[in-house]
Amino acid sequence: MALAAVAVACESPGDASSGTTLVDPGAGRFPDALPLYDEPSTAGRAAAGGGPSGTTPAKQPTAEAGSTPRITRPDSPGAAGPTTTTRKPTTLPATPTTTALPATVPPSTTALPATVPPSTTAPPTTAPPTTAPTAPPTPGAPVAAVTALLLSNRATFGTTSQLQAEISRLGTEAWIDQQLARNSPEPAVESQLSGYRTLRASRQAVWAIAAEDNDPVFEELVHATVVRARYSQHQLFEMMAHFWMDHFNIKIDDGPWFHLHTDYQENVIRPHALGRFEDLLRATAESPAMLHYLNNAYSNANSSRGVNENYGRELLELHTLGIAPDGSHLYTEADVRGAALIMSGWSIVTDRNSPSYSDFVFRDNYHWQGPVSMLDGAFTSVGLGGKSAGDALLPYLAHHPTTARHLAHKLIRRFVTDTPPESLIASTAAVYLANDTDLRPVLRHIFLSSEFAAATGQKMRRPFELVLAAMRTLETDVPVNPLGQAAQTIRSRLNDLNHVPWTWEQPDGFADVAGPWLSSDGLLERWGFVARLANNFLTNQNNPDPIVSDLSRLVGTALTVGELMDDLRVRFGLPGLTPTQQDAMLSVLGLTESDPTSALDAARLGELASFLLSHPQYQVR
Amino acid sequence: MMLQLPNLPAATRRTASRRSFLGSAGGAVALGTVALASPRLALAAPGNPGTGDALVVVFLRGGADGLSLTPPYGYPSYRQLRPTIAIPPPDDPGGALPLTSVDNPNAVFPSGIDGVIGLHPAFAPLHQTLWQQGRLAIIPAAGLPASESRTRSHFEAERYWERGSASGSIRSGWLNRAVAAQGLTSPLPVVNKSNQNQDISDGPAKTLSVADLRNFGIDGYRSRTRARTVLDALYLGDNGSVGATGTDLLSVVDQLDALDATPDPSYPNTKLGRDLQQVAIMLRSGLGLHAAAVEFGGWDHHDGLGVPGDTQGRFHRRAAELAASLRAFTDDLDSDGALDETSILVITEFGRTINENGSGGTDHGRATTIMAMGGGIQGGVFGDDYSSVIADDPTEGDLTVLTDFRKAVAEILERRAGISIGSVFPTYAAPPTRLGLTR
Repeated sequence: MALAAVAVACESPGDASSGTTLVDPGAGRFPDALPLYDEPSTAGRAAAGGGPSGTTPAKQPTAEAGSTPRITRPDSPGAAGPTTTTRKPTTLPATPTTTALPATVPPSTTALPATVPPSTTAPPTTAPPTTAPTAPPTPGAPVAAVTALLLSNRATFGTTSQLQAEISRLGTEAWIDQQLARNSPEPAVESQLSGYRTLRASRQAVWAIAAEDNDPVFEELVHATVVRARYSQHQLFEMMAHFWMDHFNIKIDDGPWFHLHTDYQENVIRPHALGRFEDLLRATAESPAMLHYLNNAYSNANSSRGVNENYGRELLELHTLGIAPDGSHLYTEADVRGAALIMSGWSIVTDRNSPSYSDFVFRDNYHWQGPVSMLDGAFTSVGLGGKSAGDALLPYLAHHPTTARHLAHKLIRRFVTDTPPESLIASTAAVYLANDTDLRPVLRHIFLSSEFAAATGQKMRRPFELVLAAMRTLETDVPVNPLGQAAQTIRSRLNDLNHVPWTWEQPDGFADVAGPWLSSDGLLERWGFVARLANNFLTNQNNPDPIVSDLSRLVGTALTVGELMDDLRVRFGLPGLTPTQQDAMLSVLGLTESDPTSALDAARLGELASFLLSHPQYQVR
Repeated sequence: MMLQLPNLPAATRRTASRRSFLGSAGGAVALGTVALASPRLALAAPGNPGTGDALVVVFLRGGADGLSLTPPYGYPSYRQLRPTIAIPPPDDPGGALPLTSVDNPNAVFPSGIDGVIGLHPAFAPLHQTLWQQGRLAIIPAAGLPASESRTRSHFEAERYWERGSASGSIRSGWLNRAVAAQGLTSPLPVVNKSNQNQDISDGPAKTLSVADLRNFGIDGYRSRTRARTVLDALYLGDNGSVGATGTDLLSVVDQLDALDATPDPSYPNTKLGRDLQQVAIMLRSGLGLHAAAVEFGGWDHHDGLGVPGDTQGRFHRRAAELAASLRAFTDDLDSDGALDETSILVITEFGRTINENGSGGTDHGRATTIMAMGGGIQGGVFGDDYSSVIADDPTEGDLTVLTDFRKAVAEILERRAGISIGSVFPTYAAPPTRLGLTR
């Protein structure tokens, strides 16, 4: 069926390296024909048209574009003319240019619909489920193919030509299953990080370092995130680690507690990033970082002044049940207080001289001893003494249908569109509940949905994603030294872009919709980053640890400047340039499209790449 | 729970303030036609003269505690409910700054609240100038009324305050709509002093987000001239949302880049200090700036809010930075009369619980204190329905909202900027009387 179609453009004969790296012990666990996970019969594939996935030969809507790459000139077809007749086939997979965009969006505009207010974070509140913006396609209707470009731009930190070739070779479904099977850090990348002092040290050891100076802790934490996102082949795992960092956001400024960040990332979030939500929720609830950040560690229900409601509120509002897009929520203020009472006593060791400093501890003398009833009596702590009340509340919340919808909404917003359609929310929530809160079948369902296939161009790259996508597409070398100029520069640029990991103050995490990011200041900083990256201006190239983008690697087989521009455009996932845009680039560089590629020296090549990466469409994925 | 006001001496709760208020400011007048806003002099822009005050909003993110901003020290239950964090009366160590008609003939007290609430001691820099001059208006127990939303979620409450409505159909910010309602076109009608867009400044009027003027120009390319040519070709005429943002940016980036934003040592060397200094620079730039949104975070004091007299407490440090920055900003604008053409509002998303929690902090509540200041602002303590009790409504809890914050904003928009508020607050029914906080 069309859902599984992949826009296979051309062979990738030069991709031997990826053949060796694809070997993965878990790769065979997801046979194509057999669903590994239970899917409710009313949801999932049935809604997307039914039929076995991945068995029908894919239609290849973009093959033509791939076999005769040329700069698209929408208003003067043929004006570009065949630039050569002797060119060898490119090794680059073709990119759907305008074919996959919504029909109403002109090719030269960005694909974010102009009618959606930038600050919109939710579907229209007036829309009942039956009028969700994106209805599932009627049976038999053509479904847009999931292109290798779309899939690799959404499931990873940025497409590369190798990734697109990989997807084309394996097929969409097998590639997704392979990524889902890679549900742990990639050993090869982790070994690159083995020299970091704090990443795998105990909390107490990190504290000893942080007590002297917080900086190395923070520097290693941020640069490890960058290195993993740049190099790991377990891309979906890393994307999910990032997703949960936002969902369960913490920010700790006060010096002595700063070291908890490292423990939180390495030992709380990452082990469960592609696991069961129930396990992740429990891990965060017991984590010293969260207990400190949302004050539950100090919440004494038996003091005359009472519990601290901070964690109880965010547990319900952000971590589990959530607030619906129309502002409604299942829980009441009394439930916020109830959750705070039930969780009171979940605390940490605060004695710095103790060998178990900052370990989890349950303080019965802080714990509310009376019975608590929540959610109209649906949950009660009667008969559950001490910590066992919270031990029961967390799984109850993790398996709650309202939590399922909340998580479905957020995951769809992350991977598909800023305005999740009701059809996909409902089916995704059902998959979540049917699979014991396991996130892998949930993601599989989302990526194989017709809504995903039709979502090209509907997500803006957040700044971190822009930075990583640009480095990945230029095959930029990023030194792993967390204290060197490369790491320092990237942190500084991310800071200007307002997207340094672990620096969002409020517990809701960095925004995951276009509105807040689509600012003039943000755009200026984006231009500034891609310009410096492509021109190798980010670091001093003569000093240790430079950031190097060797663009000569990208030249390939292009014979003329025009061909090379088109190759780069396709590699970057951009649509065709208008004649005005192409002429502007060529004229400022003093070139014509028929000039031989040798006319593009390194400086001009970098400049050309900086122009292309500044394209409005490059801000979108 | 409620805060009980004791029987105070008549001299403290005198009604003279109400009379003087009525006399001086013509308060409590019926809403009629929109006032004719004065032409701009100090803030005139060539080719875009505009009229009316420029609007500057400082949003305190996290939910600033109104009962610490303006401690109700005159209510005995205040100290009972906040045994460690209550601010004592003015004459005690670490005590509040007095807000009384006895001390300040320039202020008015139409709310009847005179001498029972004070100002947090960290606000001394503003108390010395704007308050004494009668140019600082304080509105306690303000918020979004329960009939519209009772939310205590940061994220919902921020959205509703910024959009001026809890209705899901209102997606833009009231500050932007206020400028759009004037139909003004200038190179720089609205500035959001942040890297990220904020709801309050988002909407139909052109808005530039400017995090730092010292670093606001096309930069990093091999040639800025060549980059400019290409960026024009890539963005101008692109009607998508990224294209539109780029088009707005390209229309004014070089003019902003040319402004001298050398740090002024009279401002605090902090982000907020720089933000306000740069707003002053842009107000005087001749680019026709009519509204600026500034944000100042770090007010979510669930623990360790701070005890009286501790100037290193979390609340005290925030409040001191706010006060010092606003003092520098208003002094700066006052130096050439620009303050007479500027109205400044300080708002937050909600107040906090009346009682302190077991961690020496407070949790999310409802009503809070907001402030307005400027040359056209009448100083005093304002509010609706104030009686002898600041009620902690049993159904709502934690400081019932007595004054819709939009009532204060609407009055400033109408009287100081000549803006008809119908399109600014579409879900808000204008009441028959004003608070009287404008001149």
